[in-house]
Amino acid sequence: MEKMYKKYYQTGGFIIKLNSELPFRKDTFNSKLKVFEIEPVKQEDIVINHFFNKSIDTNVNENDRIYFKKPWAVYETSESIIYEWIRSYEPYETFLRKIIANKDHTQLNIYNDSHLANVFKKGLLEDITLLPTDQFLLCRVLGFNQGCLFHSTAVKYNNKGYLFIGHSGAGKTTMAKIMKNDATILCDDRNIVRLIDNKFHLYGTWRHSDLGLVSSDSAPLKGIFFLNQSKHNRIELIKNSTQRFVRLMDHMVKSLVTKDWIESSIDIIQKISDDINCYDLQFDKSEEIKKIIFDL
Amino acid sequence: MKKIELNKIYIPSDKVVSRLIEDELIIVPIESDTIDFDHTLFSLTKTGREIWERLDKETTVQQICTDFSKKYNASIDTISADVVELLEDLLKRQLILPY
Repeated sequence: MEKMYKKYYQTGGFIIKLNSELPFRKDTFNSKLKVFEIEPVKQEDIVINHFFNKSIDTNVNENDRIYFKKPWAVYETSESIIYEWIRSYEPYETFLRKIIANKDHTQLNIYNDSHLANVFKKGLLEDITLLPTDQFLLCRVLGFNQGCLFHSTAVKYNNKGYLFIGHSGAGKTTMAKIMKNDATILCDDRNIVRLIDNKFHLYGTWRHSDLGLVSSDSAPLKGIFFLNQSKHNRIELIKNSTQRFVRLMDHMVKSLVTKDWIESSIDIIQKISDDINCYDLQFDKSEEIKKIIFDL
Repeated sequence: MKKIELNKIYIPSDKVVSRLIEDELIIVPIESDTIDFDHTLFSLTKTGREIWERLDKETTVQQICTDFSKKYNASIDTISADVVELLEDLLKRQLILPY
């Protein structure tokens, strides 16, 4: 491998080593990603290699194709998942980039074309894979490593982690605004739950909302709250295990879904559902909700 | 809408994963043809679960209905109507396929 420039990041209990043929500048990535950057370490969990202007023949076979929707064609072989960013018109030959990843995406070789080299040089990137979102990486890695990613706001208060789950408009950003003066906001849009040493931990990511609140801190997971904006404050423990499971599944972020990934993800969702108290939370956007939650 | 034929065999699609949560069977579709899919989970309680568990490569719908008619001491017409209704729903959602 030619000389590679290196950076290290951490989230979800993973250490990510990011290698690039092009040198990093101070502003290659935006300030939110900077929060997750760490000093070099000897042992990493995930390695991402960025190559630029280097063509590679992936020798993919149409029989191995598991996904085809412009701009992506995805192939699965015995060893790898291969992503090809394709033209949106015929002929659909490879365009912009190819990614060759191992099955759990702990090793990624990303081949970027000259356009993406210019994007990289321009800087202020929001994602380390140079894709529109890194969640294709995080979802896959987590699914095979006792974790999952949720549409959520997460906060740390008194060394306990609180996860507020909801789709767009449910009140994730509102909850972050309510909490931000008293608690550490781990992230206000995408958060990681991961089982480490038989305990669930909560981690933020750099995928934030317009509010832009992120932290590289983490906390043991205390409770999960399904958000509903209301005219009153009310909290109710969800006792029905099927309902907990279904609601967690519904809010788990999914990327490339394969049978082995979904089976592994279901295992962890079921364990979260069994081990962590889940609540239905109605809140009226006032500060009162904080006391109700933190007194649980 | 596709109709269930009593003399045919239907099996679970290989694009689903099922999981028992307490006494409910949750069926999760694997929709690998969509990356950001808004998936729907399908839940089967006691009798529905029993029907799902009988869907193998050897048993016709007619055989399932006959066995259930005996087990629950109900008329074959009543049982057949219920079994076909469920299987048509599962077929419509592509959770089962003709074998």
